[in-house]
Amino acid sequence: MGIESIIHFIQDDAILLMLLTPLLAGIFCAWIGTRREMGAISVTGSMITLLFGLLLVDKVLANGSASALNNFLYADGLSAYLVLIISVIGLLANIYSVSYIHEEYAQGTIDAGRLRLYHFLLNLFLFTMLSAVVANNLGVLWVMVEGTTLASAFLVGLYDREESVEAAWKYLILGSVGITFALFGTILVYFSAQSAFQNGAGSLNWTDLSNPAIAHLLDPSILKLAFIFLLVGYGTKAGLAPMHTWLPDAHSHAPTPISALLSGVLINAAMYGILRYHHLLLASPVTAGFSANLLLIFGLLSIGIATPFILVQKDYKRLFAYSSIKHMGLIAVGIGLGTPLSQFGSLLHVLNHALSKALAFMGAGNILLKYHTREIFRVVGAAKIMPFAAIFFFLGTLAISGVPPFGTFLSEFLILAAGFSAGRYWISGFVLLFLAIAFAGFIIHASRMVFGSAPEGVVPEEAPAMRLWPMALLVFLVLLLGLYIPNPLHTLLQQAIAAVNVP
Amino acid sequence: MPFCSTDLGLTFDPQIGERLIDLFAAFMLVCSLLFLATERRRLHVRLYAFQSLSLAIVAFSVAFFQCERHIFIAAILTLILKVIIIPIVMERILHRLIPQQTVKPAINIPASLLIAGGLVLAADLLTQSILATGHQFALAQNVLTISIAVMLLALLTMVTRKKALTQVIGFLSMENGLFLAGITITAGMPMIVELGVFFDVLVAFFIMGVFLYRISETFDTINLERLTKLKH
Amino acid sequence: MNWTELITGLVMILIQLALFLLLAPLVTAWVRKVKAIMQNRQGPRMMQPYSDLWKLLRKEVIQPATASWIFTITPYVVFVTTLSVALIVPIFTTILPLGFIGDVIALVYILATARFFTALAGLDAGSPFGGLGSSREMSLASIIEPAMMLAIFTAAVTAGSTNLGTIAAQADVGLLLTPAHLFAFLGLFIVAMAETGRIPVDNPATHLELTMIHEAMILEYSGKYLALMEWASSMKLLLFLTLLANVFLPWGISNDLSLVSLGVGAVGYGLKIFALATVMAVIECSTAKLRLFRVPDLLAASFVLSLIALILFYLLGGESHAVL
Repeated sequence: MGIESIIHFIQDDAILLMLLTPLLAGIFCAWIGTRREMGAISVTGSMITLLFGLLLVDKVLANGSASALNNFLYADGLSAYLVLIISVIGLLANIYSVSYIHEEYAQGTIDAGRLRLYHFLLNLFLFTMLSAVVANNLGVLWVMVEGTTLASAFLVGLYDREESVEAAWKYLILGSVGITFALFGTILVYFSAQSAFQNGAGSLNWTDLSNPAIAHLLDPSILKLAFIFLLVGYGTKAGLAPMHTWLPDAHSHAPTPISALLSGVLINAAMYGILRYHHLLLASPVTAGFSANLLLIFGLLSIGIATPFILVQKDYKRLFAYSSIKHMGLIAVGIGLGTPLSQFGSLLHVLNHALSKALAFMGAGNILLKYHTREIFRVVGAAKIMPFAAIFFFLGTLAISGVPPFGTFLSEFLILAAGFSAGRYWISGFVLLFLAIAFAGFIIHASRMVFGSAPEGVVPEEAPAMRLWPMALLVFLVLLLGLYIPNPLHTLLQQAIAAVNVP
Repeated sequence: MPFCSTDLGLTFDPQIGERLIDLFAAFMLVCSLLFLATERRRLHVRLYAFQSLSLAIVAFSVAFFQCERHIFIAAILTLILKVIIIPIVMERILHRLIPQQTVKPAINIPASLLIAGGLVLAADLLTQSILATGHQFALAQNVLTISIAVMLLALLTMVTRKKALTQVIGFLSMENGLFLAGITITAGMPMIVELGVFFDVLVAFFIMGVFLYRISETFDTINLERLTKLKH
Repeated sequence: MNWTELITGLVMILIQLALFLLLAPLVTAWVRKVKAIMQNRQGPRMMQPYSDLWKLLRKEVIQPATASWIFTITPYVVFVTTLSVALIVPIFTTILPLGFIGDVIALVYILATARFFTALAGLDAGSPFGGLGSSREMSLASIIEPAMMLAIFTAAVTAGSTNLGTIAAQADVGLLLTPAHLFAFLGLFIVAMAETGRIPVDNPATHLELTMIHEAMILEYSGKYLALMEWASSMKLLLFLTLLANVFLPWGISNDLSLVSLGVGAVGYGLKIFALATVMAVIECSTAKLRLFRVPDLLAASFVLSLIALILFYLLGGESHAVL
């Protein structure tokens, strides 16, 4: 058996193996790993996950889709794209967290039990997110999205501080309640599917529902109603305003690697749920405009609500959390505009945002461990204390505010250009204005933190390599995406757009 | 599953099943109203157990009279988990939590009850709009109103009551309403989804239970009014 | 109308009145007995209310010096109005000879008349407790009455008539209540607890000035006046139990005048009344009296229950008349 055939053999089951790896890594961490080994197990696990993820992407690029377990798991371009994002950020966050969480342990912030719990849940969290995006059954998608809340609730509330417990409680309750609405929407979709299928049996499988012959038969008014519930439900997890109130608390009080995952990846997985249903509504001309308009409204609302909070923010982790709401709004607007260019921009922005937000949070984590405060005004002169970490942090802030030549600039530019060329001047103008305001806010906050004279009482010391290399890699990737989109990625994006667009 | 009405060779007036389902669905709504009308937590726990029992009876009726066999599993799970285990665990939590003075609800009881009336009306309008499409539900055409109302009332309970335990019960009750909708309008979801939902709810409940202790330890109270450290 | 019908009608009226008068103290005694048993007491014997009434009727009346004619006529007004309601409420048959003189609307107003006079008499006696009781009674009445109206009208709407005999005949719902009837029943049940001064709202067995409402108004009455007032409140309790039993649970009620169906109706009626009275006693034992300011909560619940009953009824459309 040559290497080729082994790869093929593995590739056939890439989805399954990709899901099993983090699950196994989590179990190993929980049961047999010693304190030192747990980090190694997690990192190795997420490396293998990324490897299988890449094999899956490769297969999807070649065949257009991949499936396993009798079509129980199914990945098309959109799924593969999200798998790529989740596994890349997952790996980097894992590497970063080895150093980060052990330093917290060394500082006495958490005890050994919490450390083990952290590694176990982190892997479980990755597992639920990956399962959500490759589940063929829309009901299983729901189960897994709720699973992400359950897996990450303890991660958000890892510290025994009042704020952490409160943030975790808010996250748990709002996430669970919101997602309940999504299940109701799912039931309604199933209901309309029952009358669409010949035998009346109905199905929630994406491969059945997205079949144009079936999608046309789904009742428009039930679909519209279902979409409202689904948008509220998954929108809560995705951080769309006005259901976003849990997000700034959870994202700012979680341990930093978790913040990076929550902000960079989780909200995209929730957005993935919305995109799937948006696709179903696009099938019929009656409902097509409906979902697009709702996405525009919620998107604009999110941008409009998040931006003022960015300006007046006093807590830098919270600053990035509000920026996530803004970016999610932007992605929703891009999808809602509905032109191929805006959708391309939106999907590209999902990746760019994930990379740059992870970068920004990792930078924030380094500063937090050094300064022991989350207040912007009490952090000055970081560049003098830890030059590389501070520069990467500054670059990350520039990246999330959409400065050229970063990738975020490119994708934001694509969305806006698509909006203007489609004649949606008011919407694009509004977005442009708020992006500019938020940009100003970021630059002011970040330059105050990074530059200036070093404060007394903080020992100048560079952050350890384990917390710098992931950031360096992220800076490289965001810059690369701003200048050049590799060919495979371009193809994958095209396939993902096909999954979002009219069937 | 071993038996349902046709297996036993019995033929019932189809209305009997519908009437049973209607009646016990209505009991569920009564429980939801009582959640709003009282602030005693122990009563809340018992009401939740009773609401779940009504749900289990509805599920058994659906399974038995309509011969939707897979719903037997859901009915039995409801009976074991929601009627027995969760209420017992909740009683235990209540015993171990620190007693506390009453907290005023954000909206007083008469007003929240009147809002509840409005919500039932809204639920009805929603149902009518679905029925107006000409599609028939799997069974019990009017139970959807009740199930949406149960969900909305549970949400109202969570919004207006500032006690953590009440919020947990609100969430569980909301899930009951959702489940009622699932079994009556589509005669249940695909099995794998149904089991997954059960699993999620159970895990969510236990996680919330752990957080109840942690809130109680960290704040010395489980009044969410104290949970105001976080602003915008 | 021929002579036989007229005579049957008259006999029916007399039987209804006699039953109402005689049965009412027995129901009150039963409620007390159940409460006593639940509280591990032996309680008074079942005939005690009759002995009390008989004793009071022979006793001298002492009237406050400040009292006017209102104080004198009130017991008669209250007694007669309450008794007259017995003529328009179906007891064990839905055929009401005097059904044409009044319907549910009349019922609400006749009861309001009795309440009005009781409150006036409470003020008239000139004692501070009387005034206190009257003011509490009237402020509660302002929220009880809308709730009662809505609860009763819900029943009327579901039956398509305001005549209580027709409502009872129409509401033949089979063994299982419809959701609409369940809600209307619970709504009316709460109203009944409030109207008859049972525990979550008022305590019929207390003379503690902080809590009493109804008892405070009739504190100055003695002798036969007190007997009439006590008898009237017994009848009011029976009246509400009858409404609950026959409007919502009309199992066995007779729709004609044959002896067999009348017999079935009578037995069924007796069972239902004692069952409902037992439920009421159990609730009285297992709940604590609400503070006066919390009573609106309870009545709001009744109001909303009735409202939901109406909503559900319109959802059901005409289906509610379906017979199992």
